[in-house]
Amino acid sequence: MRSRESLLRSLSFVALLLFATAPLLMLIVTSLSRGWFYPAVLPPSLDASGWRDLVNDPARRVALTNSLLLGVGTAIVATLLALPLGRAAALSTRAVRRTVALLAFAAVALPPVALGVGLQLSVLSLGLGGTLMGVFLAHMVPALGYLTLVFLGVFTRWDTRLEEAAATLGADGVMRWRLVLLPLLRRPIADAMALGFLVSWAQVALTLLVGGGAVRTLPLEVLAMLQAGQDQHAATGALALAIPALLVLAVSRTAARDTAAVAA
Amino acid sequence: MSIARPVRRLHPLPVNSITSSRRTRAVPLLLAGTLLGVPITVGVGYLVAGALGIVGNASPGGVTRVLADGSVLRSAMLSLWIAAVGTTLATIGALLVTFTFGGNRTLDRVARRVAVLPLPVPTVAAAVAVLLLLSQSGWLARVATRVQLINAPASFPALVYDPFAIGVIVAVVWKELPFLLLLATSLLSLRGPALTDAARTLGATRWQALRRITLPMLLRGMAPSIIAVFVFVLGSLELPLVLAPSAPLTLPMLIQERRQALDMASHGDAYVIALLATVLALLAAVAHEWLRDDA
Repeated sequence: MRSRESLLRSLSFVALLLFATAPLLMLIVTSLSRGWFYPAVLPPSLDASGWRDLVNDPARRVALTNSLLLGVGTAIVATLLALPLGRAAALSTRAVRRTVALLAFAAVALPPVALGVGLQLSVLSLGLGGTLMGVFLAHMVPALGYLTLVFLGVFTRWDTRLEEAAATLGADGVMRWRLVLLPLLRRPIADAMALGFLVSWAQVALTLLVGGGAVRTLPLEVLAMLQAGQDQHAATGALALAIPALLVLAVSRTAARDTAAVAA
Repeated sequence: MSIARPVRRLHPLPVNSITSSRRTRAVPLLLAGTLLGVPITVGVGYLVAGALGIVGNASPGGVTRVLADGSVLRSAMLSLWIAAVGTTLATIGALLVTFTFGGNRTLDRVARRVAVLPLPVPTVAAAVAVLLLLSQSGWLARVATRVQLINAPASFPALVYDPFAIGVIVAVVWKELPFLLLLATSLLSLRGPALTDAARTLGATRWQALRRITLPMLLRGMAPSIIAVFVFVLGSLELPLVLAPSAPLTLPMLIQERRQALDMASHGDAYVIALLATVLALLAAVAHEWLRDDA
């Protein structure tokens, strides 16, 4: 009985391992193999030209740079705006909290294509159609939605007694932020920045619509290479999208562990 | 009722106390209105104006045309099918992993680590990977050829671009299972043990405790996130772009196609269909808020 259960667990584990990793392994092998076509089960030869082209090809380098700029910009600005918003809403009444949460979730839940069609016209009327700035503004909408939800959650469970103790001891607003709040917030801020980066980094529909094809980003390049039948390059681009994402998750987990003793 | 009367304070709070400024409504509402309300209103407002033919180089009369258009209905059905089946399978998968590997042994912890690996992978990358694995000249088809199950790509079952959108659904499950799993395991570790122990003490079998206590508790806690997953899948462009059939198109694909068309009538249709998709999403957003109990 016991051995049958442990056999079942082992089999489940193998199935789970295959399911979770097979797509990533497929990307890794495809990105390293030239001329790998049906019916070859294994690649005929390995080469790193996909990775070289990702860095050397001017168009792909522009796309990579754009994606990084948008991701980092979105992460920073969205965190700076969502933190005070989430805090103000969490410390307010229940009705205000629910209203803000509903708005934030709407920003996240609206189909990006639908939002993009609407935002495209507004960005065009601002004279920012087809510019990096216009795409950045569009990426900010879902990013702000996500991060507002994050900080709303953080501050709804927040214990204000430490700040109050600091205030009692004579700390003014700036000191309370610098000495009490920000050190406590290191972990949520790291998580929020990671999330903000990923929302922009993975974005397709808003970039496509608001950028009007003029603003190239890595996800758009990957789709273009796939449509051109360049599997090796598409897989390389897809991995290049996945790796920073996996790293960001690992880093935000590490940051979380480092501050866990304080923030708990 | 004298019980409800608040306790009278003997002395006022200090002026600089944080609690004295806690309940302000103006600041959060103003911030939220500016940062979230304005872009949403502007975006949706332009959709409405576009649907009415006021802006966006579109001819009016789209609403009646779109509602009478059978292809819009078929698109909506396909999108709802993908979102419903994908979300259901991802939920079942997350629950199965939680029940199988919810414990504290090494294998449990490793299994949960492995299972959440796809979480941060961008959807485009997931779509490319699933295409490389499942297409008729993909890796599974090659293995099937090698072991002589099939002899040509065409005899491999269509798992992408297929009418049931199997490829899209596989990618949805791969991407969304980790998100629901993280939630399920944290719910279980927060609320699970005490309730389950109580049930077992009262004589419930393991299966009864699972079915009557743990499962309802998890589903109740996961409900808002399950709705969120459903909405994300419904609005996703990149998965169907890479993996879905071209007839019928999913709703986001149909919007994109009509918008790129050269005639003004199609442009108008794009706004109307986008508005339809928006209404579906907003309904889900309200349901999401309604089901949340922590606000």
